[in-house]
Amino acid sequence: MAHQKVQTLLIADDSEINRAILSEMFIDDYRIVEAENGRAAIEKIQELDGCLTALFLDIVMPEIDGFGVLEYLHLHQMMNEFPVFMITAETDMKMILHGYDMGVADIINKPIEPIVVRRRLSNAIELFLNRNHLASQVAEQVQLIRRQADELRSINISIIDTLSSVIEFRSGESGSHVRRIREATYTLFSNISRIRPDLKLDQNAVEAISSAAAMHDIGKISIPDYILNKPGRLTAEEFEIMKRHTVYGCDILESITVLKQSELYQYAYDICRYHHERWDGKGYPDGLKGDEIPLWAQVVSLADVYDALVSDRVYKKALSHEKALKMIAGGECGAFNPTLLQYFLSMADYLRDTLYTSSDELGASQTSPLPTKYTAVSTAAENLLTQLETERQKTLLFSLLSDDIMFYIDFRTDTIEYTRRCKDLFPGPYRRIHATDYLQNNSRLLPEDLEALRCELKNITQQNPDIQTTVQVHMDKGEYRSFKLHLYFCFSNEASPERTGCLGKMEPVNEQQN
Amino acid sequence: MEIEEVMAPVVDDMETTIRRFAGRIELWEKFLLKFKDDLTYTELQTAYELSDGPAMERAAHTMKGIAANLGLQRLSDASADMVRSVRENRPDLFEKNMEAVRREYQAVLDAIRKFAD
Repeated sequence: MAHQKVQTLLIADDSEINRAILSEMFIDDYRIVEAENGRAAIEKIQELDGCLTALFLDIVMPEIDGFGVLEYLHLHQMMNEFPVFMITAETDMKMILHGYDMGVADIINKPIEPIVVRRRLSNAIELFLNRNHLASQVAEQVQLIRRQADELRSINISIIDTLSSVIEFRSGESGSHVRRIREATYTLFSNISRIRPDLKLDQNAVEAISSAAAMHDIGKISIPDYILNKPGRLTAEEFEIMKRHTVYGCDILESITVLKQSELYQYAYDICRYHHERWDGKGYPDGLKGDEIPLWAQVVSLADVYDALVSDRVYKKALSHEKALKMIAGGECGAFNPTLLQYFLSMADYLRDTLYTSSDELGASQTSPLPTKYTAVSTAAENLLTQLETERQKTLLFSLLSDDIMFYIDFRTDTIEYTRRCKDLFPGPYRRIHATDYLQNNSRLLPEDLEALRCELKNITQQNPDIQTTVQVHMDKGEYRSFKLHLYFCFSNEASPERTGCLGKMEPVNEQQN
Repeated sequence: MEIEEVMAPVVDDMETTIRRFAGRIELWEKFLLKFKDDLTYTELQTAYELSDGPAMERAAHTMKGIAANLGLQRLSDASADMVRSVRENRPDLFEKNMEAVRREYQAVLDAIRKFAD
């Protein structure tokens, strides 16, 4: 900066000769400006306005003396801009000390030794330049660190959201559900941290709570598919299993050692475990009551209930914003902290406007801006979701083309796919995952039929790949009907072939063949 | 006449003096000529006659500095004495000190005039 321009020295001394001598010393290397007293010196300093490299200051001057100039510099906080040299014939120690007290860089006695003064001047200038340069370097580094911290935060958010979305996809939730829960929690807690300073929630805490909120249902990955995607009501037994997703979520979190050291962990644990607790103590898993339930879990609970009400589900259509709020306020969808409920209701319109009115579900998010070079993570997840979607459509086509009651069990992916006719007779999804789970718990076949099948299975080889038998099947209306069951097993093309899947066909007995 | 010869009577340490001007005698000469027209002595004289203590102190102090810079040690010392007597509030010494300054100043002027011609 200054060293790229011509360096300027200001010499303030009431003696023309003294000024001349000093000037002579430096005229070859610097631009010289002179002042014959303190007042003139101050004027020149103002004129030079930031372009002054160093100041030579005599003490004894008329009008305003050297100390007067130093006071002016202090007043305008200029002592750090350039070195000040006190030039004096003074040997009075008191004055010298006073000069140092006022922050002069050096005291030079008359008669002046040119070589010494030149060296001291260049030393002092160097020091000041370095000091200022260092300050600006530090400022630059701080900015860089801040930018990198922001980027890291964005990556964290997108990884958490993406993984949570993949897990939620199994139960039919979309990625935007996770994002909405995160953002609703963020909005609600940003305000809470302001109106409840006693909670001491800083910006980091609010962001950690929001990320934790995104992970509230990760425990669902441990819930079998036939329960997770059951279109009808769950039995008492099935519901007990479903409730465990709270605790399973905590198990998963506990197993991630790195996570435990972060601020995020405690919030994530609490939210996973307690987001189904109720204010009246009738929630699960631990039956916590009132303020025993951590505030963040309560908030996520509310946000989750609202989101569920205003979204389409397999078993119900989306409710209107007003109806949802009415139900929540009326205590029809869980018991909540009355104060928190009031607060939520006051924020509800804002949440709807910012999170729910965009017809494009993947609309702009305010809490997790994604730097473009980090889309690889979310792209992988999107690819995965697209693949799953394609598989769904394939299954649909397969079922539409066939008029038979058929199904295919794929052992490698542990899935079952059904034709439409099959689905008509035995209501359920077109495609079932966790097939093994399902088949083990399936109660449609009589135990003796199942046992017989298991025996026959042992005889299946590539040369002998099929079973034909008659079975009694439990229909939904409670009766049993007879079916001819054909099972055809497929094998891999390896040296020791393995069963890769099984095609099944059922023909009702005692029905006319058309 | 050579400047060194001429100035010798009023300069105690010629070598140091010239060294201060980075060996450039012509610079010293230039400033000595300027000194001839310098008004500090006149200021001191006026202040003395008006018994203006602060003004005397200032002028004597300035004289002390200039003289020292130019190697005119005796003139510088006499000026220093004057400064001290004002600061220590010794008006009884004013006359004696003023006389000493006048004497030294005159000697310097005489010497300068010699090589100025």
